[in-house]
Amino acid sequence: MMSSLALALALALAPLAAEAEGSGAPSAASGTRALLDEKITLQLEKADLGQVLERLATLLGKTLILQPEIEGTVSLEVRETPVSKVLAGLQTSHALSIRFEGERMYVTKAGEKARGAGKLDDETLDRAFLSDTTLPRRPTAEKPKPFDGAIEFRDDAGGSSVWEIGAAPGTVTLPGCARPIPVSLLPGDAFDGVPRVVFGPSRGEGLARVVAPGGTVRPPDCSARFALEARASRDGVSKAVPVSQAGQYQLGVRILEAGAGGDEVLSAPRIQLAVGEVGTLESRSLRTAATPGLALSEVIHMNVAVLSASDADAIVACSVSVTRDVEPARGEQPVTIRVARADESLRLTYGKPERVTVSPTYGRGHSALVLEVTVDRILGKS
Amino acid sequence: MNPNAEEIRLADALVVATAAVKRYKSRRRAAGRLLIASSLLLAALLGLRLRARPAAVYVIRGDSTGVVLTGPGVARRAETAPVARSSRKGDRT
Repeated sequence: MMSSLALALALALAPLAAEAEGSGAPSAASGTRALLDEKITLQLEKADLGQVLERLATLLGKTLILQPEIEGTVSLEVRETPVSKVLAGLQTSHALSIRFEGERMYVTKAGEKARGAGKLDDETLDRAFLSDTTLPRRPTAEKPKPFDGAIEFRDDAGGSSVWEIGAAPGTVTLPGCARPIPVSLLPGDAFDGVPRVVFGPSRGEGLARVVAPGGTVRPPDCSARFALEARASRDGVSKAVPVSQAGQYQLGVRILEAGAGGDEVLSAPRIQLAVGEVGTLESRSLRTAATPGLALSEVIHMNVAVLSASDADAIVACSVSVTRDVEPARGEQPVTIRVARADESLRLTYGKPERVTVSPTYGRGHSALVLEVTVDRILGKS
Repeated sequence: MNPNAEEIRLADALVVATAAVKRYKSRRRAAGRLLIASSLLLAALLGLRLRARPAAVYVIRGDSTGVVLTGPGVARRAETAPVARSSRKGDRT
């Protein structure tokens, strides 16, 4: 509440505090200034601060690099306010320092020294991830079991229905909904095997929801909100009704580490998908451990589906996780830490790359992990 | 017959011709003024119309389940992890 009040007050009174472009080409600088003047409407109710900052950076054509200690929520309603004023308000209300350098938007806690330009070495990164107890971890030797169960939908009134949802698109009929709901399943990631249920895309904004078990969703045309739970068994449950769609697409993904020194391409996988079909992309890098003969891996795992397509663009849903094996001390059993996770749906214009910042804290304030996704139609195939 | 009749006739014709020229010049000036005024008005109207063109407005909507950005050429939604899960600073979800 106090934070919302502070933000509202800051928006009303604060001068433009977001620092101007520090460096970069003059054209890029003037472009940023023009975008800082763009009008924006915000309707936020306890929204994640990092996600709001990431959306603002996307709007400005920047990659967000966020200090890992920054967290919080934002509640705010403003109409057609310049982006610069919103950034200035967030700086004041959440005690942040926002600065632009080239194509990056750095956000640190106010008064703290900005992180250096160089990337952290593997050893320092390992120590940082190990000491961050909020990051989930498991012994590397324990591999997750692939999800092979059903999804339970529980509404507020205590009603429940359980459905077997496959990777192929289908529909489920839920109580309180005017029509069958389009759903599909993204399989679990390499860390814990927890799947994601994809709803939509909705007719309104045309985007999908990518919901993990434990989350809630109110699909369009439904009066009720549903809590999702994963069930281990499929016995006696209804099966989603398959929906056939035509179209073949090629998805290209460039996995980048974006820092002060530019973009480093970690890998660039491609995949062909039919509409609704789920594909998996994985990028794996190995490094040596202190213990001789032991190799530690970092895995970027992405499940992706083209949900619908028009003549100009396609709606894509993706679930990304980044896991890193770390040896706590020489000779100790390595642990696998999930250093980042992102579930996102976005509209992609054919042939136009779009950047998704999977983890703005990936390099602990020095760099971000970014996916550059491009979708193309494969003509003549259906 | 008035010996000045010829002069009077010529003088009358001259007066009429001068008056006609004056009327013509006056109307031409008025037409010119009207043309300039209408051109200025048209330019002003066009300028106003260009200024009044609806500006591109971006919208960020969000709650505890996720944040959506929509605007010219952009539409994307990031999910926030379920509340029951322990908080993970490294996650953007």
